[in-house]
Amino acid sequence: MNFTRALWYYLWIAPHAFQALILPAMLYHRLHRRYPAFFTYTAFAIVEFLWFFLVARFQPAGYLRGYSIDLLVSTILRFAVLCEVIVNLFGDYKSLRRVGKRLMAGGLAVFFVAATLLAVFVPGQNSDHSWWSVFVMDRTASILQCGLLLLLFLFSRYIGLSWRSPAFGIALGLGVFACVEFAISAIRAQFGSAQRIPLDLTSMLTYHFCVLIWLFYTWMPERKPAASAMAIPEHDLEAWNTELQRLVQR
Amino acid sequence: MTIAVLLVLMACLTLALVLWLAKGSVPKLLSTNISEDSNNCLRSVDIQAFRNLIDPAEEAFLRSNLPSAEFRMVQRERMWAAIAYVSCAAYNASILMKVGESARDNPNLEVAEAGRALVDDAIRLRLYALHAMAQLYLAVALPGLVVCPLGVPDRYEKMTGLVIRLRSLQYPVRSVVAAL
Repeated sequence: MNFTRALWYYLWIAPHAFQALILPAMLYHRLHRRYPAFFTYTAFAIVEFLWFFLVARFQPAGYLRGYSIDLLVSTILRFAVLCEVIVNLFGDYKSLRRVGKRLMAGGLAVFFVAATLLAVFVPGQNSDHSWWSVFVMDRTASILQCGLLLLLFLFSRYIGLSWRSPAFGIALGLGVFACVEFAISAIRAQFGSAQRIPLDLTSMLTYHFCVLIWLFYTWMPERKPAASAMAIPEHDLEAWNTELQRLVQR
Repeated sequence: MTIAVLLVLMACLTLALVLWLAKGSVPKLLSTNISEDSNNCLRSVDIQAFRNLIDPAEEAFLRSNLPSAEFRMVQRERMWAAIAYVSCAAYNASILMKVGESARDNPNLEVAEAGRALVDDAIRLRLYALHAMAQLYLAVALPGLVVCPLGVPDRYEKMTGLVIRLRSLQYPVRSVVAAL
């Protein structure tokens, strides 16, 4: 077995072995109640790996169909996980629930229009039509996920939201994977199955890295911010005193 | 091929931006005390001076008493100053958000509720500030434009009151000023 083949098998098997460790971590920390979509996605990823590893690779005729169905379900589950992260993040803040929902809905509409226009006007030059449609759909979904995650990170950074560990880890892993898949699906939509092996290895390596991020953040317990006696600088005490007096006199 | 190259570049740029944003948002792995971080110092904000800068009556007085060229120059300076005040207010809101966050999990329900109220108000102020900055930058570009971001000083004053309430709940025995 040469090095590339060995690496390919390792990158195919190892992430799913690590994902099998994520499930007990979530059960132990009771995270499956807060993040049921992510729990379902992880379980699905393990099941689909077992299906492809033990069954589908011996039936090449049905491989494209199986891959298409797997891609569709995975994409839907990743969107569900993304929604779950957003709801968990904004749900902790009463003032953000309406604004956050509108922002994400607006972002989704804009990115959907952009991705659809790209699919229509820049369809690629892939001669293999059956795989081409899969790659274009994958590219469209990746654009949506990338865009939403970027918007989420930008908004939460500006507002100064404190991320709880699992939500941050899940979002980071999704974001990294979505960005790399965006690039890879753009190349595949244009050039088809050429350079399949390097692209596959890149995608699998990225997924491996993302699974390790998820494993780390699901095993790490959540840390609450420490209560602090923050000292206010002296030059502010006068301003605060004035403010206090004004409030008292009302 | 050009489109594919552009899309790949966009994906790489998005990845770099996500990683950079994520780096700044990493949840602290060790428990932290906000007062130990030297970057978390409040900045002084003179609310009355800020209100004067964005007062429509003040602007109308200047507009009617100054030549148009001079009014535009003065108005631009006033808007730049207002932007500085809004930035300070937004910065203070981000600091006080952390104070509110640390109080949200307090076992005392009143303190927890006060912490939550402070966090919500600080977020609202940050959102108002974003909107106000957009209006003020537009006013710098178009000095004749009438803008009145009164939401910022009003919200800032409310936030001040919430901080005082939170601190008095957390330190009920000492006086409020000593608590501050």
